[in-house]
Amino acid sequence: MESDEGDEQQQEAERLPLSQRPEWSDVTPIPQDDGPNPVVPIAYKPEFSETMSYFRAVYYSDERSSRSFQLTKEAICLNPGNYTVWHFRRQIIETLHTDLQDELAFVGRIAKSNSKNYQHHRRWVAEKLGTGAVNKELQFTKKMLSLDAKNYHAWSYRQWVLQALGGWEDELDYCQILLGEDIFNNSAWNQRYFVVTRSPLLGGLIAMRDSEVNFTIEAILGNPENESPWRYLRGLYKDDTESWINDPRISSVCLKVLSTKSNYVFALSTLLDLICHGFRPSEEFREAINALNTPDSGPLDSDLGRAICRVLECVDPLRCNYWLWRKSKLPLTVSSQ
Amino acid sequence: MHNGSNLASTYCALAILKAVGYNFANIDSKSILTSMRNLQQHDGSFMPIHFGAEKDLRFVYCAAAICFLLEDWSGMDRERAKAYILNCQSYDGGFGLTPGSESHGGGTYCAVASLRLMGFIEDNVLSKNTSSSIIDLPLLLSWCLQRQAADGGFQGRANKPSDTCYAFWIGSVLRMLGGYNLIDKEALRGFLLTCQSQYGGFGKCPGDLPDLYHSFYGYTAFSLLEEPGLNPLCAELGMTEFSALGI
Repeated sequence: MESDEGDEQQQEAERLPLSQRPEWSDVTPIPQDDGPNPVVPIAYKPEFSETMSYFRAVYYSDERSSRSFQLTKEAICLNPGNYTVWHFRRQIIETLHTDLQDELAFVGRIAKSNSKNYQHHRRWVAEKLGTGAVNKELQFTKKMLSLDAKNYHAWSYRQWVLQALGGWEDELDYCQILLGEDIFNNSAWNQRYFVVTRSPLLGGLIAMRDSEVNFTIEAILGNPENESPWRYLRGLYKDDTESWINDPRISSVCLKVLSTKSNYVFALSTLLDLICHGFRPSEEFREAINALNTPDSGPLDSDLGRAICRVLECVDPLRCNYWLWRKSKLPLTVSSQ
Repeated sequence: MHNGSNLASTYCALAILKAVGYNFANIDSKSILTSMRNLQQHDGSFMPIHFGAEKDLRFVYCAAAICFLLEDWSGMDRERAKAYILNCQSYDGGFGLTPGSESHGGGTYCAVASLRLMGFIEDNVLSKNTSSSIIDLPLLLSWCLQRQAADGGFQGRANKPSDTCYAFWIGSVLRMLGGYNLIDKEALRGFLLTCQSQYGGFGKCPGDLPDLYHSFYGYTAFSLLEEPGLNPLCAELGMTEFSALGI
């Protein structure tokens, strides 16, 4: 009933028009009704129009047969974005009880060339297969991500698999591997946060915080110009600003980066945020900023927050207006460090 | 049900009708709104169609825009929708398309525009001194502004290349919050012009051939930049102010 695996391309090359196939001779195709005055009619290829006209015929008569099933495959290959076809295919699967593993394989082949439209269908099949499908689905998304490590749909599907079917055991390791390949991969950082905060095997954010802070600081020191770990570091202290400003490692990494006098924009903005939330910087911070010798006019502000803003206006000129605005919003402090 | 409605198609249809000045009194709002209520999920999100599909912020936006255009909020539970949106704010301040997913320009637009349309974010909120906001505003602002890359264009996610359309998605968020003047407009303009095709229209990246999608968002981005000759934009609806107001 179902054709051989992977023959979709072969089908395309050898396609016999449906009107010439004896098994379809009893069916009257239903053309698309674009109304009397189509405004922007699409120039469909003849094989596309024909396939969809036959699809409409079996869809409207709700014929859930093996020839309909084969037809949905052809229609999907021509346009995987047609959710009505996918939906009817699911209805046929329910009626005929076709093989679900074969179905995953089919979706996998479609997904390779069309990385977006498979998701709901795949999810539906996986749910029917239950927790037994976990490894296969994690493998599938891993394959998609090996082609494009930032594929949004693959990540979103992977997150669904973990939450619906489980399989958290190796996820932190997987993030570690991806970050090892590309420390700038923001999707991998996001997934790390997902695992650390939601995995039932890890104990939650607060339990994981210490080791995560250490890992993140290493990443920052390796590439201080990388936005992702800076955001991640802040995220580790989400809803707990008090702990954030009191963790000496945070201000310490800012100071370390400042002392290198290169790639220090995020170090400066993080320090600014710390100060705005109540952090009281010691003298060495002022010294580090003085030492930057930015092409700025005159002596540095006595208020460290203002001084930082002025440096940022200079060294992050794209966001000059923002730093001016931040400066204007700083609380007026009389005391200076 | 062989020709069930689709939330995204409904939104597009109504937006087009609005843009061409169609009289909305002729539209069967009641059916649309009833049908829509059945698409909202328990967690506040929306599916686009009744027989099952993805559910994410895009469809929450479609729902909010439809209610706004029809001037009738019976089509959705705004509080639940708000709760879902808030769950989509990532640890870095931007919004993902679903809770837990990576913050993304399109997701952030859908989140903020929906909250604006539903009335949960006031006008020019950044210029107000209220420190309380249902979303982490300072973090969102920082995230949005960091999306402007060295080439002047906007990226959709951290550490990804700039793309014409994010000048609208992210630019609109900044406009809606009252922070559009914080970007580097000249740098953005420069980037966008390199994405303009010699044949007209805009592509995704400098030198790309043009497509309708990037052309549309290229123009809306220039509208936000107040380019002479272009009409002012209603950021929440992605159409001109004139269209939105029914002029």
